[in-house]
Amino acid sequence: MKKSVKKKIGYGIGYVFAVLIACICFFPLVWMFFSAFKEAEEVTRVPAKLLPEKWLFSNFRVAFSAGMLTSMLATFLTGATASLCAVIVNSMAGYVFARLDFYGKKFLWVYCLMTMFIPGITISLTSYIMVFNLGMVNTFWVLVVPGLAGGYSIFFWRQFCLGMPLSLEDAARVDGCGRFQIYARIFLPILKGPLVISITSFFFGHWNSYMWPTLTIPAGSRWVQVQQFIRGFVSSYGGGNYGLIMAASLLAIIPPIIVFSIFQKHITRGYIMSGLK
Amino acid sequence: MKKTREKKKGGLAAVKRRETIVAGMMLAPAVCILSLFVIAPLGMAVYHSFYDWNFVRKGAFSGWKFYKMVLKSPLYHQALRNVFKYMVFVPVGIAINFSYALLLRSLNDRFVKVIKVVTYIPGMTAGIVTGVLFGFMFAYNGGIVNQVIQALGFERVAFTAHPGTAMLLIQVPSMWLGLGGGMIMNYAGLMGIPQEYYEAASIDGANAFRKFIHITIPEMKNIIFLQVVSGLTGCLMIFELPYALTGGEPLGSTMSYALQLFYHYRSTNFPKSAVMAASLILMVIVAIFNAIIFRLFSSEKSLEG
Repeated sequence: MKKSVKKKIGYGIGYVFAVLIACICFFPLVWMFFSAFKEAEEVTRVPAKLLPEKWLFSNFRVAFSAGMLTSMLATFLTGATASLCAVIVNSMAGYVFARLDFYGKKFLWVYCLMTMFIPGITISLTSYIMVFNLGMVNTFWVLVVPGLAGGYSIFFWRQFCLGMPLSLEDAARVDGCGRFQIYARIFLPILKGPLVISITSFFFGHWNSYMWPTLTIPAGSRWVQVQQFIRGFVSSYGGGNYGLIMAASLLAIIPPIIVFSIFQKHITRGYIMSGLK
Repeated sequence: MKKTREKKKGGLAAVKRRETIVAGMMLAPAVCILSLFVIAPLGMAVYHSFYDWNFVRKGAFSGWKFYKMVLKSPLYHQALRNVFKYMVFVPVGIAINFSYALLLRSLNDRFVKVIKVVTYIPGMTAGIVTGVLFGFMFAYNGGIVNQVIQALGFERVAFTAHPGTAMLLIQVPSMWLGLGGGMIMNYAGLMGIPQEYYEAASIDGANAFRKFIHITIPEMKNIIFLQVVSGLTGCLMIFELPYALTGGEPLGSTMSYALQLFYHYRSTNFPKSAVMAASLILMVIVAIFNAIIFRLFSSEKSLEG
């Protein structure tokens, strides 16, 4: 009896602690949210109040007129295209490495996997020279194509394909299905979970990327990406007006959160898988 | 010639040849993109690091000159030293993530799901936005953190002005970004430990502390190790947070290796060939770390059978 009371108290304390940490962790986003509606003077006023005195929408209006919406659309467009293409390119390669037997397999496998060990920053300057020579600078394509294939993704897809039972395709092969058909009609539909995970995680990575867009897209271009825009916005409009900056930042984090909440279940499960694999 | 030989073998070789064509077509997009935008740029970087080069004009062969130049450069010395300073905080972050996961695991309640999601969401914030947000919260004038410090009766702190506090200013958001994902990874690992181990230990009369030392820690070894290695690699590559928060200041004390490279990409006062050499040195260091991670992956695979 006494023990169970003690246990309950311990449980309660643990709970309070857990909730407290979650609140502290979430607080910066809450602070960002309310600051976005505050006036320039109010946002750094001492003593601070959480809620804005008067809900102000002009911060958002300024952000929009500076080109926030354009950059969000540009990032969404390039990001969505890139994530969809990336998943096709990498899953196809992963499937081939998992199932097909062909000349040069070992060499190509090492070749693809090796790219995993090359940090983006090491090659970003020479990649820039490459896209410059290809005439891709300041186009839609420079944001989509160069990052499509990735050693880690191919590895990830190969693992998933290896985990599928062979009997799956035997029946299809008897029916005369080609390799590509087996991949497109049997593997892709079954691997819906990994599909969602890699599309969303690629999209998040794209949405949050800063270095590659700044190297390849000049300021003022129609393809300026969100993070690039935020950085420029801070230096040109910022001037200590954190209300404005927070409004733009808030807009910048909303799309990933929406995507996350749609696919929440798949994503957390995927995190677990990629962590344990 | 190759063709006729295969024909003679017939059967299997013919199948393999047919597969080679299909494989070639299906691999073409991935291999072409990797070749054009990863392998070729790497080759160019290696090539240029051995020649006197400045975007337009290629000069004479220079051997290891630029590598030596980087290794002697005080800027890169400092950047490498700073990487170690960044690394000091890696165990702290892991300890926080791990203990938080332990706490949530011990509660094991339906509401924990909500807590998990709430802690996960902040981790999706982009590096640049995070930098801007924490710069605002830690601002000297009217920043919420300084207001709390003042309310507790201390002096305001100009976080960006001193090397120590500037490092803290970068580490706090860095841990904030890592908490959600790290917690979920540790939580999943803890869920994976068979409950029978603990029950058996209880029957043998082990207390909570002994169970933790002899069951939890050994079972979590790989996950913790994975976090250590990826955390340390992350320190070499950390870029957006120092860029957005301190710009490497004060006195270069928060200048990370990646940030130094980024600055040199755009400036003209450091030879481009030396920048190439510096980025390749980074790759070698990262490759060593990554090789360890990969070893870990493959050893686990073989255990699974």
